[in-house]
Order: sequence, then structure tokens, then C-alpha cells
Amino acid sequence: MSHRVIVPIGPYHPLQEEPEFFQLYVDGENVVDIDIIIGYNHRGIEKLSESKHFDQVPYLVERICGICSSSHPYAYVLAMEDILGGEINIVPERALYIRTIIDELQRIHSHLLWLGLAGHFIGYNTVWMWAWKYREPVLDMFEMTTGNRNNYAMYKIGGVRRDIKDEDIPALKKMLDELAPALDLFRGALSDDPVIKARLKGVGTLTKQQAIDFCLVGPTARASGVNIDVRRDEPYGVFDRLDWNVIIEIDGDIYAKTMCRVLELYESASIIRQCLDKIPKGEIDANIKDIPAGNGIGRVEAPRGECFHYVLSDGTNRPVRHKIRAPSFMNVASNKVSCVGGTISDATITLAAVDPCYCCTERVAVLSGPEDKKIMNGWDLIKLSQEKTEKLKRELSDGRPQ
Amino acid sequence: MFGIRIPYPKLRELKEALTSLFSKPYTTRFPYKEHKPYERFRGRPYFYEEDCTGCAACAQVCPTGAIEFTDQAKGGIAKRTLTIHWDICIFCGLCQASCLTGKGIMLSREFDLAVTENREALRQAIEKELVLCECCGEPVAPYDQFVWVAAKLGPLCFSNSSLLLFYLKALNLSFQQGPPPSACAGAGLSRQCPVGIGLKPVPTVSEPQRADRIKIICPSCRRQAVLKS
Ligand code: SF4
Ligand code: SF4
Repeated sequence: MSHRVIVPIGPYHPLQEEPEFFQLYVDGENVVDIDIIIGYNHRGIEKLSESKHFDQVPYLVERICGICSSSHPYAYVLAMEDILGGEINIVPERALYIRTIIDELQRIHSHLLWLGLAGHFIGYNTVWMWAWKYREPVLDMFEMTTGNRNNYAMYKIGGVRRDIKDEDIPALKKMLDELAPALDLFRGALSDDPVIKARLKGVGTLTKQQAIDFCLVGPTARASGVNIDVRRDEPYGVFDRLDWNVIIEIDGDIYAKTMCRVLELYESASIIRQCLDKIPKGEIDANIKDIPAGNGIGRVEAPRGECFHYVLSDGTNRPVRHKIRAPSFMNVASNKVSCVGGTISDATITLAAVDPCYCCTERVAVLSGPEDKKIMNGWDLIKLSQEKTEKLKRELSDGRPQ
Repeated sequence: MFGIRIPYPKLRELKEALTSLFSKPYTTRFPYKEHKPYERFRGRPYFYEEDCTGCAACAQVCPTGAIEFTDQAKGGIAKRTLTIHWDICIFCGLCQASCLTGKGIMLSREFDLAVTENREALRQAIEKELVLCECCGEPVAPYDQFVWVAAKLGPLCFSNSSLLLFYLKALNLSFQQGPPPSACAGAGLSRQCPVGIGLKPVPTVSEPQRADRIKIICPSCRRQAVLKS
């Protein structure tokens, strides 16, 4: 029996935004077990929401996550509209289209962000720069239509706050046209680059059964062959009137998760294009004055999976109870099985593959034995992962006649 | 060296590398070169004193409490001070959307708000003169708000005697105490605040009497006066 070492990552994960604590039990290079401890980032949003007016809450919940900052307010207004009688019955047509466009634009920017970071972690810094370069025009479109690159402040109970003007539509279409070659590039690289395949195939695999057991949501589940998507299963906005596909991959490894996200980018682009073609003229706000007593739920397919909001109203102007469940809460737990069996250098990308958000500022303490303790920062972890890719590259090119 | 087989992915990388080499940088030289935000960018909100009535609706709706208002007497004149704290503001635009006149507070396109040491610089304050209750001396509403509501309601303000009296006063129709005629120039009512209107020094704080119903009084005094009658 060889020596078991604990590698603690956290409580502030160096690569992921949410403060989570991963304790890797490693045997040599191999991860044999992992402990996941969450709850370091309690900001009291649900309680805070009870102290805000119904109209102020969207601004609060869109700050839960800077990247899904359309999904949370959307789920919240859906919950409120559930109390009022359903989104489809009260929200004007045009507002439904605008909501769908904003939601899908957000998915594009979020997936591109993830793609860039995934590239960075495995040592493809060019992919990192490209993905973020192509994300910029998407953010510019947000600034043009909503007034800000993040925190769009678009959603309002009964409609949207800002209109998409006619002159914005060609600009949006142009952006999508320019995005298409970039997407082809990413898909091409994924499908024929041997190094990427060798690095990502078979790493961090989640079987369909495991995905179901862990109640996974979003692309993490769809990459394992679980056929779920709130946009299709419980349509909101105008998703039920458009022609699009739910992307399902079956392998469940990180390659499948990456492929799933890249293909979803195509679908999102096509959804936005259809919306821009079909968007009707008219009102954008139903001018809701009072919220009756009652309770409602709102579900939205965020880029990371299903985002759930529950609101209880007692007829006053503030929520009595507001319950939020973000998708990463479900997905993070799956690291318990996806990391085990891999190496530490795989753990970096595996922990990132469920797409929680990253930030590379904090440090990690690597303990090997009680007496000898060394501090590794986020960069060391990335280096470990990038070195493996370099090794693979060398191995692959050695085996090829040059 | 002919005969070397370069795999396609490598060729693609080479092509990208060459195009990138010969194209100009994608990034901008921001601090040296000015950045122009889009037309509808949400930036620092400003009060516009001309169009603000001082109603404080914006302070009520602001999700972060960035707008603060205080009512106090200064030099014999009661003033309402509205202060916006840009360091707390999240640029949501709810204040502009809920503004009584729609133009009293408006978001600009300024995004560069950084200050190094003086946080005090991150605020803007405006003052509005308050109309005081002729019975109890408490503030009723800002002068400009009375003018705005009276002008908006027109003859409909007969339903509220405070408003009506104010309307008459502002139109210089009331004989008790009138503003200078310039205050009612034009068809609409003046937005200029003639110092002292509606501000009778309250000699004694008296219980509202029946006769007080035809004075400019605050809602709670009006309730008492009506109950007495
Ligand atoms: S923009 Fe929003 S946060 Fe800023 S002052 Fe107006 S309401 Fe308050
Ligand atoms: S008029 Fe507008 S800016 Fe002035 S206090 Fe009222 S809501 Fe605020």
C-alpha cells in the first residue's frame, strides 16, 4: 500500500469563482478520492431579496453571477409571472422575443468564456485568446442593446425594460455572421486535432447513470447522454416556436462536454437569427401594477444548466420568501466521481469542466505529509495541466514521421 | 525538404499564426486613446435641477439606496437635499425610469468613475425648497413638486384644497401672499422657486381647526381638521 497524500484546493478555489473546497486524496499522481465542501460564499441573497421591492429584486439576483446575469433575473420574473398567470398570458410578444435574444446571447458569451479558459488550462493559450477575442463582439452587442456588457438590467415583471431598436438588428446579424467562421474553427480543432483528443478523451468521464444519480443539469448532463433542456421541456420565451435542437453527446468525458458546448453555440446563433427575423412590432411592457398573494416558480436553462427560482408573495410589495437554486450546485457534486481515477493534472480541467466560474487569484496549499508543506498557487496548477499537454504533444509528434 | 507530411491541424495553426502576425492588434490603447461607449450605455446618473421636482421617488426605488434625501431647515428656509452616491450606484437606470418628470435624473455615458482618495467627489447634491404645513410646520412637499402637480392637473386640483390654494398662489390669484408676477410667466407655471412662498413662519403650533382646511397643510393635519369639522 503506497503513501496517500491529501491535496487541498481551496477554500477559495484558484481557478473557479465560487469559493469551494476540494480535498484531493492522491496516491502518487492518481486521485483516489475527493472531498467537496461548499458554503464558503454565503452572501445572504435570499434574505436580502425579502427586503427589496418586487421591482428591485431583478437587479439583486442578476448579480448572483456576473456570467449568467440574464438567467437569474429571467427565472425570477418567470416566477413572478407564474403568480400573475403565466409568462405567455401577460408578456407582450415583442418582449418575449427580446427576452429570448438576450438569453441566447448570454449563452454564447458564457460558452466562449468557458472554451477559452478550458483551452488555457490544457495549454492552448491561442484558443484562450481566440475565444475571448470572439466573445468581445458579443459583449459589445450587449452594450449596444442593453447598456452594459454584463448585468443587463433588461428583465422586468411583465416585460423588458429596453427595446431592441430596428437599427440594432443588422448589427446583431453581422456579429453572428462574423462569429460563424470562429465557431467552425473551434469545431474543426476539436474534431481533428490529435493532441486535444488525446488530452480530453476519456478524462473525467461521467456515465449516463452517474449523471442521473447526481441530478446533473445543463451541458454537463447532456454530454453524458441525459436528454434534458428546460428550453424544450418547459418552454419559456419563444423557444417553442423556433427551430432548434437539443445537443446530446454520449461519451460523458470532457471532450464530449466541450463538443456539446461548441455545438450549442451554433444552436444559439441560429435561435438569435430566427428571433431577429420574426420579431414583431409592439409593446415591450405589460405595466404590471400589483402582485397578488400566491407563489410561483421560474425555471430557466442557464448556460450551466437549470436555474430555479421560487417566490412567495403575500400581496404586499416585497417577496416573503425567495428561494434560488443555481445549476453549479448540482454539477459541482459530480466531481466526486469524475475526478477519481484521473491524475492531479487532469483534475484541473475536470473540476473546471462542469463550468463553474473561475478566478485565478487565490492560492492552494499542497500538503505531503504533516511536516513538509508547500504552497502552490493557481498558476502552478495550470502549469501542471499544461505540462501534461506538452508531454502528449511531444509523444504524438515522436510517433509521427516528421 | 519535400515529402514532409504536415498534418492539417498544423497547417490551420500556421495559417492563423500568419494572419495574426500581419494584422493589427485587436486590443485598443484605452487610457491613451479615448473609448467611446455605445449610444445607450448606462453610466453615471446626474440630477438635472431644472427638471427635478424633488419628489424623491428616485430615492424610494433605487435598489441600492444610492440616492439619499434629507429634509431640514437652513437659515429660515426648509430645504430637501437629494444626494446621489455614485460609489453605491449600480447604473441600473431604475431612477430614470421612475422619475416623476422623466428628466430629473438621467444616466450619462460616463464610465470612468475611479477616484484615488477623495470619495467625497463621488456624489452630487441638489437642494429643493420645501413647502411647510401652515398648522404644524412639518414639510408637505417641495415647492417644485406642487407646481408640477398643479400644472399637470390643471382644473382638477380643485379636489385638493392645499393644491388648489397653491395653484391660485402660484398664479398670483390669491390675495394673501403672492409670488412675483414673473413666477407665473407663460402658460405653464414657473419652475423657478421664489424664496419664501408657502413658508409662513409658524407662530404657534396649534391644533388644526376647522378653518384650517383652507390652508396649505399636511395630510395628517388635514385629516384632523376634517375630523373636527
Ligand atoms: S441607476 Fe440604479 S442604483 Fe444608480 S441611482 Fe439610479 S436607481 Fe440607484
Ligand atoms: S423629480 Fe425625478 S429626479 Fe427629482 S426627486 Fe423626483 S424622481 Fe428624483
